[in-house]
Amino acid sequence: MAEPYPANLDIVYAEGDQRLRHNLRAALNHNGYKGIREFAQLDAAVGAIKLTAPDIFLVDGGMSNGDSFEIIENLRHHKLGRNPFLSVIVSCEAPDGQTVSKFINSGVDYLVVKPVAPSQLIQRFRMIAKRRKPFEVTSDYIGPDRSDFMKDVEAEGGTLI
Amino acid sequence: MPNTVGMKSRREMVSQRELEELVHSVMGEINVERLRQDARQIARLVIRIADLLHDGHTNGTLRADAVRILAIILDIKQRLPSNVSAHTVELCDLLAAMTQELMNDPASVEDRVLALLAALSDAIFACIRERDDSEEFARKVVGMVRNSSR
Repeated sequence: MAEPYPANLDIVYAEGDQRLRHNLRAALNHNGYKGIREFAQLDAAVGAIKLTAPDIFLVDGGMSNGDSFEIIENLRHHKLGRNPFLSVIVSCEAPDGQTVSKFINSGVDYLVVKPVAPSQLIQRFRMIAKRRKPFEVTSDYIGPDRSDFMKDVEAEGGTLI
Repeated sequence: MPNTVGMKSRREMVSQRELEELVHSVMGEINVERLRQDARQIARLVIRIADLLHDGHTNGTLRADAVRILAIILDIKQRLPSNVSAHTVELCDLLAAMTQELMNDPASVEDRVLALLAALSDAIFACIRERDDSEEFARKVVGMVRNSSR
């Protein structure tokens, strides 16, 4: 029999710091999020996304010198993986304005600053479940509606789908 | 838009096949909207390039705008269904070639060329917005542009 929610959520979690990764997974497990697949390497996490269709991709934005921008953009353009609408949460250590802008314009749902509290993540998961942002389409962006970030990021508004 | 987290929280069972169909359908909708946005953006950039040239600016923003037009044209060509959009693609190729020429020597661009660029971008916008008869319209515009440049 299938696991009940939220144990049935398939979460791909990529984080290079082993201690952080284990602690966060343990805390999420403790709160019922049992379906976490953790990866120390970004390539391995991308491989998992290609093979299956996870519900959430939780990734450390600093992995592999920032290749995650391109990965997220490719996900949103359906050039990578099976589901371009999967939820993407990026964690970052003290990101500067340019990094924040790049992540937002690559198509993340949420950007959280490290150290990430499990309660903070669970709140995001619940928000995604209850009212996922609609997708915005412009000539240079496809991804979750960025209007929440617009005051900080320079970008043209698009059509919501 | 498929939200598998929301579906699972509401205990809605969606098979892999159903999810793929849903993704395909919404991506189709996104593709149509993206094409519209692309065409609109090209028209905006062409107007801006004309303004820049009239004001004597031939570098910087003008070059960036021209490069952006070429990138958008590539995006349009990848998204248009090739089997039913041959003439619209030809329109895009004409616009790309003229943009490339403009980039090579912006100082010597004549008003006539700018008018042609504007007409081409309007035609692409019309073809993408109105699918009915758009190919016939695109074919006529391509013919007119080719005749005018002889």
